[in-house]
Amino acid sequence: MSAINHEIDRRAAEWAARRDLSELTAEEQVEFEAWLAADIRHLGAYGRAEAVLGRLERVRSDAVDDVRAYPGQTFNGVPRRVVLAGGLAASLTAIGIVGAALWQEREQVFATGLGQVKEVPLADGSLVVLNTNSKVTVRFTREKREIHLLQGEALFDVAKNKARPFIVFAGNMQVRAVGTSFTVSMLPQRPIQVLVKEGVVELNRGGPAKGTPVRVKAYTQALATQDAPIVAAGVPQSKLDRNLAWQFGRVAFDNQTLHDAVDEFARYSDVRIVVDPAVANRTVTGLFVSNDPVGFAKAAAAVLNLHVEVSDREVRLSAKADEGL
Amino acid sequence: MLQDFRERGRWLARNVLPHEALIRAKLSAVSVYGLDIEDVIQEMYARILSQPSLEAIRYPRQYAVQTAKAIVIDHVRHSRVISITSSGSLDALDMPVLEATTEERLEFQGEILAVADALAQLPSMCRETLILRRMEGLSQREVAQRLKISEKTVEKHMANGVRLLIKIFGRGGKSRVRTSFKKEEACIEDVRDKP
Repeated sequence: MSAINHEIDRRAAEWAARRDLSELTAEEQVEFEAWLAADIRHLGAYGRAEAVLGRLERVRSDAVDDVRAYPGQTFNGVPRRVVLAGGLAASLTAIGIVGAALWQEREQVFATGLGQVKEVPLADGSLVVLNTNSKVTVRFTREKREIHLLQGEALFDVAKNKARPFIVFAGNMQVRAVGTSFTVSMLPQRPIQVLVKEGVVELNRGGPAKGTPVRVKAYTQALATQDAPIVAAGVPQSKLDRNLAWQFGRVAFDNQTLHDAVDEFARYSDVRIVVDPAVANRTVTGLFVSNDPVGFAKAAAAVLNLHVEVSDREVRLSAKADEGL
Repeated sequence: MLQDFRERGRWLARNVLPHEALIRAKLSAVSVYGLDIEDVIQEMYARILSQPSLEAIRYPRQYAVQTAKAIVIDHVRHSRVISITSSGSLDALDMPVLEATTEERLEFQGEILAVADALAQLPSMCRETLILRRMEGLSQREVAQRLKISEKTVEKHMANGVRLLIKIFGRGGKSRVRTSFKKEEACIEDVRDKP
């Protein structure tokens, strides 16, 4: 979000709070109306702030206790708000207790099936988004936050905490972050890939292959194959966006061959797309729903003028019989 | 329209706010050069608010998406930018979104849970201020007495809470305790400053 939008939201929230709590003075009213009129975004932001208040109001008073008791993010099986139970006085002094609870040491496992994308908020405020067919374990200790990517791909949006580094283990790779946003993927037959969106991460190998850490900054992709040196290269914004489209349940291609595109779709569904080698080098560009291989095949067929044949667990793409005549 | 804000705010709360994350996701799928999604979202709310009658809008979610799309088209026309990357077409906005996390959540766990979840991400004083005022209907003075803070601080907590909720709801509830924890400190300072 840009600083301007942020500032507009802040002002809108202030006005909404003030108008909700009391009548504006004549002077404030003039100021408020002038602010609203100054920019169309002000009006929109204000409307949204009112909507936030309206949404809270929809929770009737008989549900208030449930809202207060709502655990929020649970971690290690201990609902956060349970620690805070016992009234507000307790909750005010309990901030320290919440902190202590973050350091419990039980391992949690999160996984997705084919075609699923899942957001997992962690106890420290970090967020993990799991792509299709992926699995991670999370273990937080007092000193560090350890995540093991067992398979697949995940985005890590890391909450800053210099005292407790956030380390992702994938195969023999270790990716260490302080506060940043990056993805790690570990797919069969492909190098382990780290893609950094924000901040800096430090890559290293564990065990005997351990060497000097490699620092990788934003807009960089690093690839590691077995024990070969880690290769890092810059990535333009557009490619970064394409590579992160899976967060929204999409795959994006920019002049990708059908062969590669179909490989990508295979990650998201067990419906196979089979491409006739004669057309496998034709390229596609576009944004597609990742767990809809049939939709993709039909779109590709339409654009490339191919023959498409859909059966139960398979879609075939081939040249039309009359092509080339 | 100023007097009407509260009623319109309720309408937006019911019909648009729960879908904002979905609309945002759709917008980010169509990246247009030089276009800021936040601008589009704010302008979308403004355009909807400016409608003479909200009750006439029969399908609010689609209406919101179409409004956002119209803003993007205006931008493209105005700036004469034709390079719409990744999707190739604005029609991507029309696609049914299968993985709409916000929607699923609303469907399966209900609106109360969505609100409770968002509130749980706020600093405790902000959260309690909002609950007392908006759900239990206490006055500013009563909230101040209950929480043993000044009335001015009540206003601050409320403004902070609204600001954070705008973000949380807008992202579909994606937790950002990182921002709220910082605010927790700020909130406590407020209390100390004005006993």
